[in-house]
Amino acid sequence: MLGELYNRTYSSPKLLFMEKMERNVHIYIEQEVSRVFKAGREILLEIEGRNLSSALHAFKNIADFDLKGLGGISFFKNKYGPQMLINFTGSNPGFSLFVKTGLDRNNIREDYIKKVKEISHFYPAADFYLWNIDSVNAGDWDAVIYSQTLEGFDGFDLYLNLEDGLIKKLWVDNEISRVLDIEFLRHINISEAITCISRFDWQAGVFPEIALCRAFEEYMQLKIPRRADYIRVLLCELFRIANHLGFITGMAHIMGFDTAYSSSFLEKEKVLRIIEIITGSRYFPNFMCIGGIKKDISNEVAGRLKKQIPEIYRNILDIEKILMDDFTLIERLKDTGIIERDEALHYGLSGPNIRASGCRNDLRKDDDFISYGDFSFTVPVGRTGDCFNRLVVRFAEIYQSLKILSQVTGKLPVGEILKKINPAHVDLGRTTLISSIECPHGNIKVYTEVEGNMVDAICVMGPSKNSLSGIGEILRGARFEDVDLIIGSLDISPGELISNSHG
Amino acid sequence: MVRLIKNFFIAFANIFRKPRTVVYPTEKIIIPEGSRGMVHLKLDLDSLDMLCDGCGRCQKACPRDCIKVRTIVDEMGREVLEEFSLDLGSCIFCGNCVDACKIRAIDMSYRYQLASSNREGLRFGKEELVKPSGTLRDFW
Amino acid sequence: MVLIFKKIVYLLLVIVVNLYVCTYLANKLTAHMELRRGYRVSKAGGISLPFSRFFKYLSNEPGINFWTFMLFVFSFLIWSVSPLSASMVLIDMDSSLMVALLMLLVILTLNVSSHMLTGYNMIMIQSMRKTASVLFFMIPVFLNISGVVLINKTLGFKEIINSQYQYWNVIYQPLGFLTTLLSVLFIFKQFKLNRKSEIEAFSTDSCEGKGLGKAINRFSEYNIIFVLIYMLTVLYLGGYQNLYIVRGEVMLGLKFYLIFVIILIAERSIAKINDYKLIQRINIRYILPLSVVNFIVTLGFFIYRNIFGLI
Repeated sequence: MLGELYNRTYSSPKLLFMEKMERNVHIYIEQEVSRVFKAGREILLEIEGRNLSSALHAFKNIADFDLKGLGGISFFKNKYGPQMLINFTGSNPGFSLFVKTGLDRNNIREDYIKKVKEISHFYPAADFYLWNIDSVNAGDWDAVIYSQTLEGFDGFDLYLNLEDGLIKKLWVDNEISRVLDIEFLRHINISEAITCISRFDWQAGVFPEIALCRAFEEYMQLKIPRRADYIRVLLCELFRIANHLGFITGMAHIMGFDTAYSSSFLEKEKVLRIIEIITGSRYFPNFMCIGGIKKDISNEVAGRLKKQIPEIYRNILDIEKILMDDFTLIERLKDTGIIERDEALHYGLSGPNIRASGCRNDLRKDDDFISYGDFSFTVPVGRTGDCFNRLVVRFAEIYQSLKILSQVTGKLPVGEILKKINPAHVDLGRTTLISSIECPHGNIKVYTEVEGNMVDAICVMGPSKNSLSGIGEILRGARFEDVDLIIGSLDISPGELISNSHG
Repeated sequence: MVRLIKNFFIAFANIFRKPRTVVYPTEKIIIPEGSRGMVHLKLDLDSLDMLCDGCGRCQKACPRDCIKVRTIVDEMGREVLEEFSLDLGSCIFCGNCVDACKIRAIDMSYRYQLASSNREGLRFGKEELVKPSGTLRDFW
Repeated sequence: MVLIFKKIVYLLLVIVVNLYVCTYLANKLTAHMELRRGYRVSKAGGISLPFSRFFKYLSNEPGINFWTFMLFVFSFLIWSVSPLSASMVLIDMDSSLMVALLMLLVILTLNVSSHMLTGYNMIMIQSMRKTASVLFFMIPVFLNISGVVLINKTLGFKEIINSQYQYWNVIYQPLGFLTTLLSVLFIFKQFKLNRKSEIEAFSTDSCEGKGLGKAINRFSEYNIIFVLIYMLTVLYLGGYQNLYIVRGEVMLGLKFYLIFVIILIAERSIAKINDYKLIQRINIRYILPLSVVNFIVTLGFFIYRNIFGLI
């Protein structure tokens, strides 16, 4: 009760950022912007194609905007034709601004490439969105690592230019993950969209679902029951632990430490089994619906989970001891794959990757979307941004997640789990909804356009794409033998690479 | 350095532990209760008739359009189920059809050995969907 | 003539059986260390694994050139001077230790030269680095062997074994034994005999060569390890000395496999090291100083006892 009162009195840092942005837009670039509106918990600007350049100039050069990095570029199609969505992130990657411009209907590709080049003039990170097989062949590469050949390589091919075993230049071709048709997830029901959206991040499937549900709840001003909210937190943290354990498994495998590999895999299986008992599926939960959750969890399951938490904690502590006390490992991990804080912000990295670089940001703390305010936890932060810090931060996050889990299972409130509404009966009109959530890889942003109760367009901007766009910076000067270690340490989820953003 | 010696003994002790490999066709992991497998048509326990009346809600709820329901009117003038088919090739095991069913005539069974060598083997009619599964569930 | 032929057949049999057992152990024990079951195509514990590996090599066309052929010859020749029991030796000579070390160097050199023919720059660099680090770890081994030679005042395997009838050399030279074991462990780690799917698989010699030629390359790598472990048992642990009623040959085999298993476990409990600077650091910081200290102490002891006649 007190928490709700507090949240109403003092808005969260994210809302303050939004107010500031809205004010700045009205002061500085009123002429360029054709429409400004709040879409869910984000600000969306509609800019015409010819005004894009001057708006970008303002974003980059006016200090009040504080837009340091490029969150992502995406391309989708709605009722009015092909559209381009650009995301700029602030000094905290969770705080972002969305810009939408139309593309020329007749020559989409040329227009898209022209606009991305315009962006890359101000934000060089946008070069990543121009890489395709033609630009790879134009450069002189002498080594190529195809996708699915190594641990952590999935959904993209890496072309390297080497000099004395050190990496000079590289290109990424993620054409293989562009399997998604542009008409997929269009003209479907809202509930069907919620069912299908977990495919965009199949390593942690519950997060896109919650993001989408949260967007609708925010728009409809729906307050969901406390028990449902708590169970959402519980599932979020379980998926976070499962994902981070998978990450540790991969790292142990890359480093050739197979005793730790097998034991962390067993822990991951335990957590996935709990998830399966609660939701019915290991990876694609389909558990969320607008207004709450679909299924209640029984007291038996909660009790069992509570009993297992100390056991999992002890086992993970053992794994950490095995891995992190070994001096050969530490020597290998330290000072490899360093990314500085400012560079990381520029590439729009988020989540544990940027926390390892020393930037304290976490949407769980900065935004009040689900009731994370009720639980006490800390946000672990690294210092130098190398592979060692990325591993340590993720271990610390697992412990914090276990702490949250034990609090949730301790004080699970009794009551309703679903505020009954039928989305089929709710006519939303034509709206745009954006929502972002802290998933294990970073901030996942879901952009939805709804007409009536049908989805017109969905666009998911995953944080793994930002990590991938930054590897040009991270891998430069690294040794060839460390490539799989560095890319494994970025925890790239192949599901998030699926989109139509490349030229 | 002490850690290396400890790791040596951990690896040595692992030799005598039981391997965690599950040799699949002979050993199987028991699926927990509530896990979502293939769609299963329930039977009325007294009359051994199908509970499904062919209302078609599951067909509407399916996001991948893999369920097809068709009804006919029999000689008594009642509407009865003629065809209930499932295309497993496009089923994503979401469970929306179970939620949509008002009379609880379908549920998700625990059949999971569903591979087939041709596409026709992935299409199930109502006769196959009624069959019960061979494995037991995990109750705890 | 018949006697020599019989000995050759015995020797070949011992080498092949040893290769079989070690391949099987390397697969099975590492699998169990990772809580896996290991190769399990045939029901009886996967005993056909080494055969299946060999036949997999045979299924390709044999990529044998002159250097691989030489490698094959020398890999067998090295065993002709090393005694497996008091009578079971092909060429009985006084300086057999010297010859064995020479052969070892020849195998290492040939191993490089078979990779020199590759057309890829990357592969040659990696294989040269590997061989360089293997040779770097041979320095402590050579120092320790000279220590043993100084103590026993002989260059023959047989005399060294016979002089250990009362106490094994490991009692006089514990430091030497330890450093040799560690060097062998890191040399074993360099060859990566049972690892798959890592980034070096693209760039090192593991993708070079095919068919029987590759099998010979692998065999020579195993052979280097075998010779080093054999030397460890002979020089420090008394070789084929009888222990009460246990026969000497059996004792040799037991010691050999004990050291092999210890190295196997230690290899698994240390993470993969592909940073060559780290390998150098480990050698310079820990192994090399210990072996140098061991050598200097032994040398001082030798000079005092034999030249000045003080002790």
